[in-house]
Amino acid sequence: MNKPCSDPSNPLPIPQDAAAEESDEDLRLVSLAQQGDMSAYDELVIRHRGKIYAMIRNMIKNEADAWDLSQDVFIKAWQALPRFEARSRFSTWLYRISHNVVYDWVRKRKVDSAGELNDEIFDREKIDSSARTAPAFVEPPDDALSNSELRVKIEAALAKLSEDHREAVILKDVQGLSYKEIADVMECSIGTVMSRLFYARQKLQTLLKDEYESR
Amino acid sequence: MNTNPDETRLALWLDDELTGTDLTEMDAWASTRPEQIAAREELRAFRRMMATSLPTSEEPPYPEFFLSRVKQGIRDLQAAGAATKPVAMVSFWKSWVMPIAACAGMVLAFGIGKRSNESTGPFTVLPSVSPVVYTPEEGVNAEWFASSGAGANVIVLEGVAAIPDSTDFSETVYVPTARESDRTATRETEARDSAQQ
Repeated sequence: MNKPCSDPSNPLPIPQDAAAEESDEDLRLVSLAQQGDMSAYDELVIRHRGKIYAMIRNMIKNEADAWDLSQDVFIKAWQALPRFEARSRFSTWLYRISHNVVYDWVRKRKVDSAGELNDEIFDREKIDSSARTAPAFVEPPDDALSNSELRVKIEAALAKLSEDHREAVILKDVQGLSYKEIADVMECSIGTVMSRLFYARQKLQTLLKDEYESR
Repeated sequence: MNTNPDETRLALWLDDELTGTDLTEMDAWASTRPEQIAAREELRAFRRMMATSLPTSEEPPYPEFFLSRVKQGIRDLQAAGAATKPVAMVSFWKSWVMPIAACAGMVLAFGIGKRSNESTGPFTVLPSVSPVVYTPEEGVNAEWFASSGAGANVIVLEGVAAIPDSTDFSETVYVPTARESDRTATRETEARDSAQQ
């Protein structure tokens, strides 16, 4: 009943065949990884790191922390992998771990200093060029977008929401999860998801009134 | 007859989550309600704005380094897991057996001490005592046995997990000597020494 449909007017169309194929491939890789195949797990990380990093970055607005927390998600997921029973999509399961990782981080961070951005780890000059793990430089794919005025305004508006409201709206309107999946990720009822989404959207629409109406 | 959909169904329709018959029914219901069609369009516009402004997927900076850090984290976890398993058992033993052993020892020492103080002669035959042994967790039963013939005290725990062969008891259990556990031992020894003289 509540599966996302592929209506052309839907801003987040999810081609169901592609999603099913992706999910099947995830399950195949999960099964291999559960048997100890690390290369299969690497493949899972590669397939999902983009979504997880984007979700966490949208939640916490800090690249360096989002980078670290995304790694924590995959390390914790590997640890919990024997218990993954494919009752939900692998990506939904990862979002749930991300939810816990982000909320733990937010709780701990409240006692820390006011969250300055530590961009040191992104300074290529500080990485030993002879290091075995020296990364290849990859241009961020959406530099132009990240600098867009609208994105900045939306991020600022999202920051004014409570964590629960922000997460609900990011999972729904950015990541395209269904109500049921969001309820699974946030460990709450569908009614609670609806309520959070209603208030979050209402506040965002007020904060972004000018942008929203001009489109 | 009330044909209005419930709140959940309406929300799912507004968010384009309905399919099949549910969608057809809701579309039919909404066809005579332009305000609902407008509400759905407004929500679609909002979602479109959000989805096009914020990335659904964004490759983390230095993706190869990212992957190598995840692999390193997993290796560290595996190494720590191998190292912490025995430690976990040590901690289990410290938290369970040591208090029980200490408790039994205290009861034994108390009983011996009491009898020693009551005795008049320098030579005291240690009586058998029945210590009260308890465990701080429900479902675990502990029994204490003393064998004077074998010179051994045995504590039997029922309801705890099996102990792996790798557990090093020398690191986890402290068995007090008679002298350490019984302050009267000094007195008895002194009395024995003086009697021999």
